[in-house]
Amino acid sequence: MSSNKHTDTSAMLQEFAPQLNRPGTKSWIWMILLTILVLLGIYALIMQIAHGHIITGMRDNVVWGIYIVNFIFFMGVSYAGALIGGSLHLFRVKWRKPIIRIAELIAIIALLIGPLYILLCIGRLDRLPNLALFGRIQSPITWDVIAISTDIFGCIIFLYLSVLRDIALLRDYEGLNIAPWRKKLYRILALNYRGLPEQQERLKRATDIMAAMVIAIAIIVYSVLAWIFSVTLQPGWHSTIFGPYFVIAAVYSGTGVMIVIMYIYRKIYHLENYITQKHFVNIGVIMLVLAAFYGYFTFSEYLTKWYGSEKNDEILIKVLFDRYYWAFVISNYIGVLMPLIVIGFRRLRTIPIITITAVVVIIALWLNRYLIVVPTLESPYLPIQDNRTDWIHYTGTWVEWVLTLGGIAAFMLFFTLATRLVPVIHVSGEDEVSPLISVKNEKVPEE
Amino acid sequence: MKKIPVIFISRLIAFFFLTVLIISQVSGQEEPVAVNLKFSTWKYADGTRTLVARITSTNDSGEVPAEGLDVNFFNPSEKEENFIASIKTGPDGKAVLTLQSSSKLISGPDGIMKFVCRFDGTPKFEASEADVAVKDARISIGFAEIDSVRKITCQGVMINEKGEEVPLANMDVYLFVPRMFSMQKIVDGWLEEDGEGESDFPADLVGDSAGVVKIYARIEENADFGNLEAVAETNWALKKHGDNPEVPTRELWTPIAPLWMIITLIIMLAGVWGHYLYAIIQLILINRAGKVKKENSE
Amino acid sequence: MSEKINKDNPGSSRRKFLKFGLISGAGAVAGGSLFPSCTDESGGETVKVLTTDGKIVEVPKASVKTSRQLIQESKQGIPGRKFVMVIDLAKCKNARKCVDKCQEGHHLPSHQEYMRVYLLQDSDKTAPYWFPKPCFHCDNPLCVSVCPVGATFKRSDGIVLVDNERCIGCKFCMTGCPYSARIFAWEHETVFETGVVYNPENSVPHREGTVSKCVFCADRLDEGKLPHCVIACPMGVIYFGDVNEDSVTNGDETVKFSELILKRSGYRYLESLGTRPNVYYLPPVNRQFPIERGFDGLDESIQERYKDTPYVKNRTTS
Repeated sequence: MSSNKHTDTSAMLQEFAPQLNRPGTKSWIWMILLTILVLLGIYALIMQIAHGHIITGMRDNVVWGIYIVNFIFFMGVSYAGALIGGSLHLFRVKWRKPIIRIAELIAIIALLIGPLYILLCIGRLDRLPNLALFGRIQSPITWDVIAISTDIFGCIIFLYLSVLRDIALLRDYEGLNIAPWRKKLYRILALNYRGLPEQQERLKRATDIMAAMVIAIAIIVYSVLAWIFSVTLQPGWHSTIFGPYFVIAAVYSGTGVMIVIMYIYRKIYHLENYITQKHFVNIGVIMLVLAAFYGYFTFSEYLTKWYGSEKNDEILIKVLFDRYYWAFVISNYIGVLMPLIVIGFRRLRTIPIITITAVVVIIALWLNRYLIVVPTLESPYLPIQDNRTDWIHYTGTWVEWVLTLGGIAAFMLFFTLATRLVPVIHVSGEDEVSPLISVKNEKVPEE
Repeated sequence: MKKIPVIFISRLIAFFFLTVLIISQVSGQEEPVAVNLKFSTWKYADGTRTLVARITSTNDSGEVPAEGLDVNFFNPSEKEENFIASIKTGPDGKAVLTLQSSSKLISGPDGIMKFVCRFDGTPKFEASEADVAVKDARISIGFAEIDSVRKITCQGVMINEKGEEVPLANMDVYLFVPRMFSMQKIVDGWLEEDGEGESDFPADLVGDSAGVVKIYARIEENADFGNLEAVAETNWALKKHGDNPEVPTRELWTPIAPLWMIITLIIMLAGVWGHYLYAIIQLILINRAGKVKKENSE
Repeated sequence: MSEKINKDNPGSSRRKFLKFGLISGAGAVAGGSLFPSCTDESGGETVKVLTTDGKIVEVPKASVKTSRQLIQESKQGIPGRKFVMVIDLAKCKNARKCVDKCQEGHHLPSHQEYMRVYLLQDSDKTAPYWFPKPCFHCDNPLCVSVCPVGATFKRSDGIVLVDNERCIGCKFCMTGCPYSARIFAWEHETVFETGVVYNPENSVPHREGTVSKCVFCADRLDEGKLPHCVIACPMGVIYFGDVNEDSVTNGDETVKFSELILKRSGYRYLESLGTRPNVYYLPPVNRQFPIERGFDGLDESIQERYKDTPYVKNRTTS
């Protein structure tokens, strides 16, 4: 049996080794493209520092715009990755192997991109150390800083624990065509892991604990972010259910991102045998359940506001339906119904359709964040009485959009680089080989 | 033919105006500005009298006090001007001359004293003069508890041409307390026929932290007597809150956080980072176990 | 001694120098200042300070405190005081002298206002009224609670100030304030280059990337002077005083605060939010002027502000 495992694993390694080899032309082109977008983002940032925040669309009333929307979005995606990765591991889900790495990578990479958007929103970056020097415990932003730092550390440890065995395998595998420095890196990172019973036991314990921690932290940290909004008195923000609402919406958006990344990697590296339709359907089902929850929370929010029709809530709803009508429809109707329909009907559960739904979900949830942040700020208690249109209504400027694109490009770039370092599929077998990972060329069973 | 003289004359006129303009600019001659001069006199309970001259000028933003101007004060009799002193106006535009009770002031046969203040003018400001004519009078203020009711009492006397003190009858007297930015009127009182007046001490009057308050009695802008003032202090007022040093509370907006927040944070962070520590220790032990085995197998 | 300020293209090195906070904003730090300390005739160094009248004067460096000392001292409230403001809506006719004087005294750019005048109408059938609104210096200030670095603080005398040296510009306080009292410096303005020693009590000079707001003219209060807006109002709309002394004055009349509120039925704006503001309003009963007077002689651009208010809309249609 051990020889079988060995054969299986080495066969898999043979399959995945090309991923980790020196990048080919296509890869280079792809990475250069992404780098160009990132550089454009940096250019926009320099412009912002030189000219001041006036070149963004933010003004005295809408002080938080696209940057904060992106921040919430990326953090949400990150926590989704952590939650899904942690849950898949803790519950020993049988089909988790091919996709759990993607979840773990999403968790850490999005966590690195998200806080960058907060930094873009800060007026005096040169005073950032004040957060550490003079931090006030009573401030939700301090809670968020502490929470994010804790989360970054936790996700790195979790990813590392998960990747350790794969790195050990790579260290030992001869067929890799990589630079010597990478071989050395693998040797160091592998921590002398030899598959000894003691090591396996320790690893298992540590991973289980970190998986549980990462789930708990993800929920707490994202709730803290939600509380940044809900502890203020702004109409539209001061809601008691913001904590759970944000967490649900976050995991929902995360499943969308996961499906898209699964699709991309499946296509590029021809992983059709590993990432199968079953995986898409399973994550799709999670997406469906979350869509239902998300719809439920959103409906609950707006029903309460609309029915009670408190004056400021009414004004807010009016703004939502007047100025943001299509965004509202996409985000709260299409974004909820589409997964329900697509996953609900067997006929529609094909990989392309599920992926398209995932893209729609991502857009819908980004819009949902936008609709949470901006319309509230556009309808404060004291009406905005100003003669400058850009002070009354918020419109994102080129700087903000370019930086959004730059952030997405950076995310994809880091992901690409990460999967050059570690296999995108959990390679090391042990006794947890999934029945779905079949021998090559065997047909994948239905259902 | 006719055009030439016209052109010539118009050029001459233009040249003339230009010259005047330039000369006026170069020489910096400006018209002196008109000033407002307010002159009043105050008599206090201890017998001192002050003469107050206030000079302001009006410009676009309103009245602006004029500082550093010399004002000459006089106490004229029928025949002479009797220069008293010259005082410079301060930053508030006021020039105040204090005359002690012992000063001999010249009064007319009807007991009326005349005072004149004159500002001789500077290149910047026009000259101005004002005068005031008052009879000598004095008020005083005191406190009394009559039938266990606290009262403020006020007496006014007028000094007639013979130098006798005669009660000051039927005068409106206002009582003030000094507040941070201004004087606050607390009582609208008057002096009766006998020159005496009394008022209940206001029960809700706030003093300082010990309940001490100064009360000013004033007769203001009286045609015959000018301004009269008397002041006295008492500790009958209510004690003022807030003079005690603040005990730093633990609130959301104070520098120090509520205790429960700090404790909760410590517990949560300790819990989470404790688990991290455990995981890291496991990793270190994995590393160690591998090394040992390696050494053993070699 | 006047300095020509180079306000041309943003890429110029001078602006970059400013941008990265290498200037303390005061002449007090020798060698690091955009406006090097001058020397007077006696050969001593001088610095610029802002007087309580809003004028900039040069004084010997030794006679003024440094920015750091001023910031430290600004955290102490004037002992024994608790400041309160009462605004009489019955007398306000939108003369905007309060706004103008405040901008002048604090060297604000013309488009930024600490004191703002709104045209409010609580509901369709209720009366419209002009509503001057400074910062309320609340007793439960959400803006102070949410500041992550403690750049804004509440003193014992009730005044809430902002320390522009510590502010990181996260703008959380601006979302925390339900009364939209705070403003942000979105770009560098030339009026920021006064070169005076920074004092949170008068909030000058303002800095790009930080928040500022009405400070109840705390520097003037130190000298026993009333805030700019109180004195500037031609109608005596704004009263200011000390709650502990139970006295407020508008420069002309001084009244008992508790009596004024009781008699005229004073209230606080959006009381139900629980912020416990320290500015009271007297309802617009027995108005001195019809609302229309507020539009007399008003600048076009300012008139445009109110074009979406129910009052103006009804006015144009009827």
